[in-house]
Amino acid sequence: MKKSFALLLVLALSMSSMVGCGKKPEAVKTDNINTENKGSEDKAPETEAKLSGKIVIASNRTDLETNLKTYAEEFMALHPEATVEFETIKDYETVVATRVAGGEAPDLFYVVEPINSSTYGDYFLPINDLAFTADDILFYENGKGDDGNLYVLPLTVGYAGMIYNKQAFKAAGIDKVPLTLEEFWAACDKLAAAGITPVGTAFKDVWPIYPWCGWSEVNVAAGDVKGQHKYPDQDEIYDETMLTSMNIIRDLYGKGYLEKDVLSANWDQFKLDFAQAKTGMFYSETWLPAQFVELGAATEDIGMFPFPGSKNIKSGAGKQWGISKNTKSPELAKAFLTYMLEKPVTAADIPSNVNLTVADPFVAELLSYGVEPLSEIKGDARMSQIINEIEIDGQAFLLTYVMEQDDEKAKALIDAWNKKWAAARKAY
Amino acid sequence: MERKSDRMTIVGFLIVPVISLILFSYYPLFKLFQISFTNWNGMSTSMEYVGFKNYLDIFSQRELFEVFANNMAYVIMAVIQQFAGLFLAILLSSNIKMKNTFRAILFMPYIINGVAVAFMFNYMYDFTNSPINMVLNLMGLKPISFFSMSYASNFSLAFISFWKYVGFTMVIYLAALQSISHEIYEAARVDGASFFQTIRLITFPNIKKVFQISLLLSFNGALQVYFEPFLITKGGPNGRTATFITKTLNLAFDYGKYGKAAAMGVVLLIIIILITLIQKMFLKEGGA
Repeated sequence: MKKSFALLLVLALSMSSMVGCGKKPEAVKTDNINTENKGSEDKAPETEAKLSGKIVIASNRTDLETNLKTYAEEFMALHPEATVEFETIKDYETVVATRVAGGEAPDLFYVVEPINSSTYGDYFLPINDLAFTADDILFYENGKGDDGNLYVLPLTVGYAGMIYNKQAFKAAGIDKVPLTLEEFWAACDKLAAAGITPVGTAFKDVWPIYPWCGWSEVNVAAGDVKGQHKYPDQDEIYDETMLTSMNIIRDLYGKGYLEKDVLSANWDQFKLDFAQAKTGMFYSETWLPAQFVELGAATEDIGMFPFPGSKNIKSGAGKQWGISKNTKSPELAKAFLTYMLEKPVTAADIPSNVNLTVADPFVAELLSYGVEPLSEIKGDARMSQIINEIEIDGQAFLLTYVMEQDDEKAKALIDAWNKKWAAARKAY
Repeated sequence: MERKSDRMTIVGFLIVPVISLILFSYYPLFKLFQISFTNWNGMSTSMEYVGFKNYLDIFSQRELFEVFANNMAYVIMAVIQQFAGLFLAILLSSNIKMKNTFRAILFMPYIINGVAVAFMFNYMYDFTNSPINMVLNLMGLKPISFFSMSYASNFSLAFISFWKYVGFTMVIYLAALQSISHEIYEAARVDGASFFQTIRLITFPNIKKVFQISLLLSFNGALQVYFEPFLITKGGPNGRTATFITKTLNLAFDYGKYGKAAAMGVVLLIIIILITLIQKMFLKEGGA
């Protein structure tokens, strides 16, 4: 008797731990949302003069919590009857996706997986009536859904490039930023000789190395305007262009030019090391340099240059913001989105609004080396669909590829993914 | 009349737990089964039924089952944990000074939130800042890479479970030990039994059942382990520390394959039920 009771208990325990997986998925009842939505849209014109209601904006910037609060208060001072609240979420992608699925989407949020241009209309309110055109906002066209309506807009734009610490370069005796690969390797030699880690990765956190292996980043830097969207039409997901970039970081590892133990090189430690000139270079985007300044580096000590030997500087839209389809205060949400587009949340952001002046010294330096910025064409959803189909995580795979120093085995890994890709893409 | 009010009382007490159980345990379980037959992406408003496609996919992907090799490190640690817990329990049930203080100290890790423990060990296992490596450096020894491409990485992670749960195991055994009547020990002492003879012939046979249940719990824990690899290594490098659950989470949250992830949940459920049944069979044989 006791035994079977214990067994039951164990079973119940194991079951209850499993059901957690099944609890989240809940289909959204679309009917309700539609009717609710209609009601509020009808009312909207009357309330246009005076904004009222309450909206919640989901932000991933947990580091800016107080700034965001002040930012919202400034808006509320202009519109005393409106309530605007920022909610900062650390695990943004997962949390927001789950809430949207549960019919509790924040009023303003940015595009997360698996939303794409073909399904914008299922989650976002059309914002064609916003007072902006393609001449005002960069990447305006990218925010359109497949049905031609505008659903989302970026608040910021970013440029990819090599960030470097000028103090580290000075200590290593490098007087000119490396613009070709030969110069880059020479700079790495000098940095290593001076006891400075030439290139940082923060490999333990995996995501920071995305510019080395992102299909968009790598291809646009190589001058291909199609970027990642060329892959659904070819059999190799890891072609020459990708391997050139991935082999640079693999060689860096082989020569010992990355962190001492890459597997425990974490993001926070990396940022500190970089701010303190213990690390020389890091391949990332323009959103990052301000964070080194926050950690104590002088603004004039941090700089950016185009990735050595690249044909173009990849420019792209930041997060794509839209208004939830089931918001109760669509007019207020639109007004606040407009406000955010006209007034950047922080000075460190490079606004997507071309009417605003950009005062960012890092962007200015990056663009001063004569390499033209280029952005990817607007593609379709096939790329992300096939990636999900074969379950490839490009960043995690880069780590594997870098750590595998046997050339034969590394090639076998590449071939395996190419084979899977070739087979999977036929269905799309 | 009285009987009716009795019944009312019973129903009154049962209604809330039963509804909670159905709502938060059985309904989601039912949903899990339902979703495992669909291609739901975690967000879309509709889901299509795809039959057994998810299950066929899982069984055709050998690498999904190869991760059980990583779980083995946790199973091995779970067995060691039984003996360590038993050892501590025997020590602390004897008449030593500050018995309760030691018990509290050993039980403490179990109370600490698992995520906090993972963060703590994240620093412990850091290559450059680890206190362990600092000491090794001071002694002129080479620092250790706790996470590498080798299988040993799994033991680094499994040790965290060991550290966290050994106190709990100890408490289970303490309770079992205390339920053994003192008269038996006294009788044995009168008959001239040695310390090891009492352990082998009295303590072990009496706690055998508890031992088996504790082992069962640990095995299930070892199969379902996820927060250590999920928080510390994210299953990397090269899937070296991935477990069945981290793979499941990846599928759902990174690739939007909730249907397939739900199917993996069902597969794990079946595996655990099978293991439990096998253990129950052995348990019966051993008990006879």
